[in-house]
Amino acid sequence: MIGGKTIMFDCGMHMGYHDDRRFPDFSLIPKRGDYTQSIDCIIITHFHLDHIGALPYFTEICGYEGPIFMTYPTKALAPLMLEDYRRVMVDRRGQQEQFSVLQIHDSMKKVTAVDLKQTISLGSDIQFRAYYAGHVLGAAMFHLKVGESTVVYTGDYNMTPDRHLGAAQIDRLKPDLIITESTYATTIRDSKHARERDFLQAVHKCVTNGGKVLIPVFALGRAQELCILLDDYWERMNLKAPIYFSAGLTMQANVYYKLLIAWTNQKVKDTCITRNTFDFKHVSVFDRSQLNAPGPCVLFATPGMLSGGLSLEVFRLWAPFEQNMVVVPGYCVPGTVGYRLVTGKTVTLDADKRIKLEVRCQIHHLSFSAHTDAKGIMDLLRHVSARHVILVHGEKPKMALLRTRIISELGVPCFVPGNGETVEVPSRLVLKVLASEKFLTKSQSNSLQTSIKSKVDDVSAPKRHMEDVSLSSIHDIRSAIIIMDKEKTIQVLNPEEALNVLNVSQHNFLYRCRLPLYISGMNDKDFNAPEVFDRGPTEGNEISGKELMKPSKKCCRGIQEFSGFQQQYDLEDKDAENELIWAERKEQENELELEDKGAENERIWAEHKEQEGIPHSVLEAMVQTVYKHLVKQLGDIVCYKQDNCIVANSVCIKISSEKTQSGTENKAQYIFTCTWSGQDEELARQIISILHMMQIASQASA
Amino acid sequence: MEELVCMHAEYIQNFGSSSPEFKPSWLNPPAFQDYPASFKKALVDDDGVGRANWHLLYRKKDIQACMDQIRCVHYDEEISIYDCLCIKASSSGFELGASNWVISGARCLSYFSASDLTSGHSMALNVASHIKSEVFLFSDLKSNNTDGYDEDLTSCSVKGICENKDKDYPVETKSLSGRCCGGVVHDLLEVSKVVLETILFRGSVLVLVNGIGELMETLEVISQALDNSNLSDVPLFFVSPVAEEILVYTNTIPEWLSAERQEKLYAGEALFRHVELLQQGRLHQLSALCSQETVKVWREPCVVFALNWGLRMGPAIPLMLKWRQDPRCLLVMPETGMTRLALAPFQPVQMKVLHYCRRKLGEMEVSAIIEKMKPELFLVPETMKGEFPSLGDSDSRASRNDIVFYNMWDILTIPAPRYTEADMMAEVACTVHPRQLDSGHSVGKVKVRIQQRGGKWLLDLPKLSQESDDALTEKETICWGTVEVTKLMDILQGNGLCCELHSEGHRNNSEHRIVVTTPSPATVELGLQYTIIETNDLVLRKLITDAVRSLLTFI
Repeated sequence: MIGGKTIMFDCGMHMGYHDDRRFPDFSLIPKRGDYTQSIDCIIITHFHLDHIGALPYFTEICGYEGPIFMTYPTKALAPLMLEDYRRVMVDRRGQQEQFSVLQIHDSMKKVTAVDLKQTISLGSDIQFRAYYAGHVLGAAMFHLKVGESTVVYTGDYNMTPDRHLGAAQIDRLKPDLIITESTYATTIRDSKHARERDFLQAVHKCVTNGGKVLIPVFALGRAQELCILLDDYWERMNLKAPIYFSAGLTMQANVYYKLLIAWTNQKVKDTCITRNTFDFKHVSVFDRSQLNAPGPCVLFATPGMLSGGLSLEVFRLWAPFEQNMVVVPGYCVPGTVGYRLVTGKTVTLDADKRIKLEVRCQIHHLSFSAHTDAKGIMDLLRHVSARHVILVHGEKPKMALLRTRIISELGVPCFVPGNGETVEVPSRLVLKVLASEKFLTKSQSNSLQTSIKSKVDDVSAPKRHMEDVSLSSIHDIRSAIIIMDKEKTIQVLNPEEALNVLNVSQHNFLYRCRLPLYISGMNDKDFNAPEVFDRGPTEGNEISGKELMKPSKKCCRGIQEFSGFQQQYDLEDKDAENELIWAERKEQENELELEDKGAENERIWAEHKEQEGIPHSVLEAMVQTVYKHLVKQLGDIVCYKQDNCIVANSVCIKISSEKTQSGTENKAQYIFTCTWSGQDEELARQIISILHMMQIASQASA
Repeated sequence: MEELVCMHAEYIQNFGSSSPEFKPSWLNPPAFQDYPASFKKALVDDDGVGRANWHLLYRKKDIQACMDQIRCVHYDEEISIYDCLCIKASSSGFELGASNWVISGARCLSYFSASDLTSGHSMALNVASHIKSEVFLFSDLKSNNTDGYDEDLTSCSVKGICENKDKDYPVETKSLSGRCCGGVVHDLLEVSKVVLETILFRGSVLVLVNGIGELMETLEVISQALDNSNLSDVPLFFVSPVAEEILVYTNTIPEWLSAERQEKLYAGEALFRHVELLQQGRLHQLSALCSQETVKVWREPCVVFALNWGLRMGPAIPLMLKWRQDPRCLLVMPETGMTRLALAPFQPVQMKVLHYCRRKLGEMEVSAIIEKMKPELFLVPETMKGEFPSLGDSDSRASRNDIVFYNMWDILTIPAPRYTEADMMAEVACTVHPRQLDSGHSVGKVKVRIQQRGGKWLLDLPKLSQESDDALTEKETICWGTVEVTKLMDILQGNGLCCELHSEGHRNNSEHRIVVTTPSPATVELGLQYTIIETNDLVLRKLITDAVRSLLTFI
């Protein structure tokens, strides 16, 4: 169940059982009427029976009618696999068939074939995509998305390429959950090359000694890989012993393999124009009459794991002879003859109820599985970086070990549920909101450029094993206003836009402080002289932090002293000035909005032109000096000058000269009117303290 | 491309080559002065380049280098471009692998190239994958207005070729007359009929095709027609330097083919019939016309298939030269509107010429798609303007503002939506402390990290490290409302402040000044949209601030 939808991944069977237990217990499916209503869709990863074996049973006998998805090769090859199984069960074992040939075909007709990476939408909610998984032809991992919940189901996969298939490939999808196979939860395999060599040498030796080699395989997958290997080896070593394929099945499978070359690895694809890899030179179809024929041979017989059928029959015939050999490739399910051979528990085999069979032949276990090993699993998990992990398709004790490793190394919760157990995993919740274009694009262009640059750099880097596509490098931090209206629509806006939407205008809430300062008509040299200013911003901060109160108070007294003037000033000029300021500001804001300069934070204040006592140029020089000084002191805070005002963030310092002339020639009295809004309290204090230091410094220098 | 290069090599082999670094001397601009004006005009376009601006043909290694840069995609694979755009190919049904594209970013746009709803070879036009598109851009549509073709044909076809211009039955009437035909047919079965007749009259057929899928289909239809008439012994030739590659390759791409052909995969059969034809020895793949192999198998009458290079290059040329005077022979070529030019060097042509035109989307189909998908806007070429009356005929005639006609070089601006859908992580939503307003809106402020992923916007919580960087802007607030003086005075006095109101009512009723004298001096200036507090007593300031804040709406 994911996001309210029920998805069935794979519909397989257990090879070790021959009773009801071989099929899954479908009664465990949460019911919503019949199966078709209970399950939204079935996704099959590959054609192995433990992944697809129960599908015809489920569709034809249990009556599931809903959508089924699998890749093209799986759809093409699955009927072969199912038919092979059915025949083994019925013809050889004499069991009652679980489904008929017709039912297999009817079942397959309900299947929709998908291509790799094709994004399929089912209804408005379900979306999924297949990724190449290696393992067998057409094997896929599936990324499923329902609403905002995401799951990756790996099916079986192989992280190392083999003779005919490539390695698994998947994007860094960061899903809520990954369900991965863990067949080799603890095994780390050595190089494949050595294993191949051992296998070939063993077969070669056996054949040279006149022995017969039995390789029990499933019709598809391993059979083709080993065939490519042997065919190639026979060619190179110029061997003459025949290689047989049991029944036409595998031969027929080769036809499909030829059609589906696009799903194999690059090397096979490249050579297919000149010679199709699946046109074997030394391989011929096996005839039952050759069973007892003398002389060496190699036989690929189905089914694998010696679970019945021809392979078991041949095994019974050949096993008692020492010169013969059985090669058991890959994994065997407990309960099969193959499993017992591999584990080496018995040499006497109870192959049949009546006859006891003594196994004398050589047994070569080929750890040649198309499953990934523990390292591969960890690599994949690390790459996909899911938020939760569930392990399936493995052996309990080993899975427990792997689980511990995942939890400690990857730091994500990991579950190993048994059959019938339920695991609940929270998914990421996402709200759909409407974001305004302005809000989104505010500073996008900048970050976009950098991100493109970084991506381009990425491309030039050597190609990694797995495609790592989506590095989300476009990000930007911003404060947003979120408005939810009566219809519960959520909008994300810029503050200015929010005011518009709410149909209100910003109330400017400001603080002001006036500093009457005596600063001598100084030059840059005076400023540079005192050591204290060159110590950098840290010094400044310290002062502003603790001692700021003192200058403020002093300043306050100063204001009191000149209150006479101030009163007058205010009464006469204040209104005019204010109106001017506000009018100007509004204008500028409008301009800003139009031009969208993105400088909303900066409060641009109007100039205050009239300056009577002191020539304009002197005042301007003063502003210039103070400005320079402030820029130097404030460091990275953007600070700019406009006429007689210096603006940094919302702090505005307006410098005006004192009307009543006082002081000596060199000394002019200025009033620094600082205005700021609450958010820039710190900055304002810092600036005020700097201005005070200036006064002290200039007095000292004077 | 490889075929083009091979043929170019052949061309050079046959006709010699000037130094490839230089244009032929007669193409050098100084030589233009002496040319007649009309010739000069043909060589040099208005912008001064035109045909005189010859380029070297690329070589084989250029092809390889170029192909190395290509990223292959599957149908319906969503590819993210720098995370701001997402593009997706969707089958168009016109050729093997031919695609329409869905481009989604701020808007979702679908581009339709030549498309075919039902295809005999490649996967049919997939309309469903355009479901999310808001804007449809159509190009390469079939025009019902065939006047242009007819004029072209009459003028191009040599005298005597096109005696009968009856458009509806071009094939039967003309071919039965034993002469020639110059018509456009849209159905391959028609083509095969004419081919069959030609063969019966012991004439040979040259079939030129534009695409590989088209080739495969034509080959199948014609071979089937021959089978039906017991003419299976007529040899079929496919002449191309890359014939073998093409034939092998086409048999390994089931996932790109039409549903019927995919059924063949499931049945374990070859995807195209050519495999069988090759095995039976009826179809011969020839890399070149003049080879030993060709001499061995060549037999006339025959049907020769070749790729269409506008009758300027490739195996078609020797065959044209050979057969052009033979009225029994037939040339089947795709309709391009350039027929006259194509046939010009071979005049006088006695052989029959049959034009074959692939089905494309026409007005009917486009209307049907529009009706079904209901895009916000769709664009069709200006040349199709006369052919979309039916869209206007419906009841929505007046309101039909969703169709735009475009011209070459036009730049059309499609307005961006004011709002874009974005995903907000639930974690972000949890950090919002919304405030219910009288207007029914809930308002909250939040800090978000904006990301783009695959063309979608994602609002996430800022990472911790980034948060500290931006601590400064965090205090930024928005607030609105107006402070009522009397209320503020009440609160201030209620807090034991001694204050006095200086109203400047003579200027503006809304501007006030409150002067506080005890415990510390302070002034508060009030306006409609501003409040300025001036005091140096921090405690007092806090008190006044709180008082004012309580009267305003803050987020």
